[in-house]
Amino acid sequence: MEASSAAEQRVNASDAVGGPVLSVADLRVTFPGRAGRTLAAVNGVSFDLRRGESIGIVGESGSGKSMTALSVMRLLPPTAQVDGAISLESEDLLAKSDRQMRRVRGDRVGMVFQDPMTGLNPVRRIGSTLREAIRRHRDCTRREADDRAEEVLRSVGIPSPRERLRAYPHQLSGGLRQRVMIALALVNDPDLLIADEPTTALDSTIQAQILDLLKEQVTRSALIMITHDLGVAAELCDRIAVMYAGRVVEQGATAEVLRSPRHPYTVGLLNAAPDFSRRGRLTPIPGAPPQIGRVPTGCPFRPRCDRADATCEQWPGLEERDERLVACWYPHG
Amino acid sequence: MNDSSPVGTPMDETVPAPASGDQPLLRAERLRVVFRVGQRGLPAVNDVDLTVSPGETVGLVGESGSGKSTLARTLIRAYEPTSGRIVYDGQDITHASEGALKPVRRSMQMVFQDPYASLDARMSVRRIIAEPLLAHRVGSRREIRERVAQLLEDVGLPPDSGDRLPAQFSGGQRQRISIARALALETKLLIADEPVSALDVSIQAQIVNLLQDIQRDRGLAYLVIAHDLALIHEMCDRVAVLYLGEVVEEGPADHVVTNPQHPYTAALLAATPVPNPDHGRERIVLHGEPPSALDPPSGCNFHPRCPIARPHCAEESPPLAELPDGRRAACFYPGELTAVGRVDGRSQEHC
Repeated sequence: MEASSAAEQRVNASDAVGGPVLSVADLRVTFPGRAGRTLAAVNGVSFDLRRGESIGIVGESGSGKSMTALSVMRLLPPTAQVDGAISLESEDLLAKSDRQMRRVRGDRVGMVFQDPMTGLNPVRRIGSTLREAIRRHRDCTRREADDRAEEVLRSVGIPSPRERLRAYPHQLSGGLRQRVMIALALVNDPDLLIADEPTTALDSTIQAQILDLLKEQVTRSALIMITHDLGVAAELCDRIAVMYAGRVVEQGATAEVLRSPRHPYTVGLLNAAPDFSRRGRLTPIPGAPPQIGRVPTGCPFRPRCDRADATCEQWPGLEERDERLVACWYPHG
Repeated sequence: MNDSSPVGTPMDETVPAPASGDQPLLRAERLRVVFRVGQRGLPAVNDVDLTVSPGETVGLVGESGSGKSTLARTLIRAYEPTSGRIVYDGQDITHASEGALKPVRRSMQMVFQDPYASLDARMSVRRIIAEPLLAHRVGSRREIRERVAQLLEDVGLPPDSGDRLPAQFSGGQRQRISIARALALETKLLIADEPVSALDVSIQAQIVNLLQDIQRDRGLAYLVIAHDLALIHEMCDRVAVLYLGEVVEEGPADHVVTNPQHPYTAALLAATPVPNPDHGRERIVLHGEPPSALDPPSGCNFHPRCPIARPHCAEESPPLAELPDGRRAACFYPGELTAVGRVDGRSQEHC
């Protein structure tokens, strides 16, 4: 299948699959700052995700993309104040107790992080980790859990899975460890998979394998892919939300956003990356992303934007036009 | 060398000098670096020939374990080569003593990937940039101060940066500090090991442009180590693709990257995600992972993962042979596997 049409076909295939698995509405995450100020890490993120769909949350460091993922898992530090609504299969996740959330994590929601070593206990065998993950949520015998663990390792393409159950994490390569992490996230057939930079630490040929694996998985659940790499999002995601300084600045169908980006930041990101089509001078975005607590008022991108004027001191709001959400007074196109 | 190779001719044992007459600044010949692992030898770099001419940018590309960083570190003699020869600026430095290397190191500098780890957090930026000058006892205190001020300007940092600590700078600014430090002496060759991969996407282009400006102004030669083919294509005149310590393809970056002849290069290109929904590239997903250099496969190193391998490839190792367009590829069937597909019936050869 040609990459150009794959994303569009997935969008069509997933049209009629019922209500959203996950619904995030006007999510805000703030932390207490000095002198009674509040620091906004995430500022008004909204999206729905259906079974079979994938959304890429794309941004640079400090954009709030990981905070968004952690909010869904309710894994933010205790000082974080979360507002808005997050519902999984119509259940309000923000209303759940910590105990109830532990039943959700690892069961209905699986998560894959950038560094597989952070998710694997170095002194436990792979099999023991998987077995625990299964038996925490399922009433089954050790033998049944072993069978399921073997099955899930096989499904993520790990050779000789039965033997691998006895391996320790350090005995596996980085690519295999990330496959184990994905197996761990999938072991209880989650409704939602959240992957935070799952391939960033991997070599490109291994990254391609892992992206293919995640692509297969999307058909069975829903996927949130957190990445800094628009190329990775293009490979995998039906839709993308581009975040900058805690805000979504552009959101829409991946192919459309990449073909005709409207927000100057999205345009800037695409122009800044070398892409094989030309050699010669790159066009960087001037300056650097703001640190939390130093985010300008109004449009956070305005100090770096060549289109900005005094109007941009007001936040433009995320407005919808032609099925695209754009937060800009002077959008492209 | 084998006689049954269907293409090209094996390279001569000796690398001829460039016809133009200008000697390469750096030349590695049949370089081998073998690390001892217990009782066994791990060949991290295996029979590599490489030249970098003055003012030229050469890229080394490969995955982890390909030997690209080991090769670069051996070229600056951070590691001792096991065999082969390194000639820098007309001088054989293969086994030169530390004392003999000191003047060489004045003009050979390195920029590292992680601008958070490569700058001493307790030193002022002025001191960091002045360190090479102090180490080589170049200039009076006043001259050093003026030199640092000039370098800060050259790399686009504000004049008051010198008194501050690295922690007060962003990742992109820290990489500018590393570059300023690398330029402090009379640098002729700058080795940049993944110079932008730790930086935010919007900052990477700033640093790439800075490196290109500096090269234009000072005529430096660059050796750029990167895993990102798009970056190599952007920055480099020539590129060498490494797999398991060996060069599998080498030639003009534009040809090698956009029209690879070795199946590994083609797979690398296909595996590079691009944010273009219409790029029309074929998907080539390699199975498995690179084998261990401790236990390399028979024949061609790449054959266990190669989509076009024949039985023959498990028996014989293909030489790095010159192709009609002047590049070299170590494959019995070069050009057979391409990463370039067709979209709308129109060739995407220069996508």
